[in-house]
Amino acid sequence: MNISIKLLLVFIIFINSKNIFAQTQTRAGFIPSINYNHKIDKVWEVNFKFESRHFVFDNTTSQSDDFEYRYSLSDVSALVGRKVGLNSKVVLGILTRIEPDALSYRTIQQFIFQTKINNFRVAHRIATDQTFSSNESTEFRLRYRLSAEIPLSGLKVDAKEFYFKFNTEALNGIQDNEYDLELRVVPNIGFVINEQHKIELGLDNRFVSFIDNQTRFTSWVTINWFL
Amino acid sequence: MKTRNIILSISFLLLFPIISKAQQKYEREYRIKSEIIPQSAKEFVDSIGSDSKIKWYKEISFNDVTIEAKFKHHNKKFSVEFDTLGSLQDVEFIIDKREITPIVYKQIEHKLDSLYQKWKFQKIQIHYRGHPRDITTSINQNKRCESIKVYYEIVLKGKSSGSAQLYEITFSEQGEIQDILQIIQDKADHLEY
Repeated sequence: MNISIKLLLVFIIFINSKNIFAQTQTRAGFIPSINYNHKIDKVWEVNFKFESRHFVFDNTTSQSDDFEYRYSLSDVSALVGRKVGLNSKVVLGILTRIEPDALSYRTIQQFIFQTKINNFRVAHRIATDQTFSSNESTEFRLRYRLSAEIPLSGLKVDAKEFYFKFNTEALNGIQDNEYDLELRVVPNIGFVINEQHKIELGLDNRFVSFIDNQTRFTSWVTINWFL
Repeated sequence: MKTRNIILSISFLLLFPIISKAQQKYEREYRIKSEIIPQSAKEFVDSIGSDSKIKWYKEISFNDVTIEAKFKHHNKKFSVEFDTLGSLQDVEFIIDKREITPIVYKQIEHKLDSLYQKWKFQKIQIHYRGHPRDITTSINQNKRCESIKVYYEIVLKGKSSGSAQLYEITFSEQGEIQDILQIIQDKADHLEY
């Protein structure tokens, strides 16, 4: 598959996600994030992440103007990973969510393993997390994410080359004895600046309350910097 | 080509100021079009015969630039390497461990047992070097000419002390170790976190 066809596929996904805007309760915005990963030794590593959410569109409220900038929240997380196999690791950590009027904490447990399908690197993440806050009951989630990286030139992604990354995730949540399902579909275009730095531009599409009558759709433009 | 450049430029317009001029050591490959491949290289690949589309790559390493053809022949994945003028360097194709002569396979197993507590094959390639005509004959008649040099290039997961690592080990035709390389896996933080 040549690069033009690959890019065309990416943009078909982008354009299709736009159609959903008119049909359901929709919010849109952008999420910049910085993701720092540090290898301590052959088996241990740490990961720190900062991201913030900003809305620019919201038709779920009664306000007359749907297009309005609004800062939503910031997440700060610290994770510790331990390699348990050649391509697998166990990760534990904590996330702090800072909202203008609330603070919540999340404990995170993950098992990640990598496989390869031809030239595509694929990572599977099975995770559980628990979110605690003073004004809501604890939320428990079980989630599975599949991430695939497709080089846009050559057999593998090298420095100064582009890649396409596709994430899809299913999140099962329980809060106050109520079950909910969220689905995420996130196409990204990434660029490897050098061995240490990567940058990605993507569209994080989230379908919240999927089995509830009132499905809410949120679409974020994401800008990720991995260092 | 032009459209692709425009799309990529727009996508990254805001981000490009930080894209650096860093110069680093690298080993990389590019897909290249068959039109620019030397005739002799194309003729050699044709002499083997391909059951699939032939994909051509330019490989740049520290001190070498080569051209590589990847294709399938009789359901086996082939990789043929040439210099930039189209002279054959070597031919590799993936084989099953049962295709290694039992005595040689035992020898390889014995060597690996002495190196690692646990090991597992990931990929076995047979590697031919020699005169192009003899290599073609060996492949097409499924019988190795004595004039060609044969190696086994094995990628395996090996655990000696601590964690498992990925290695590429080259064995001679008799099962003697020629070279051991540890494969450094590419960072995958953007897939994992």
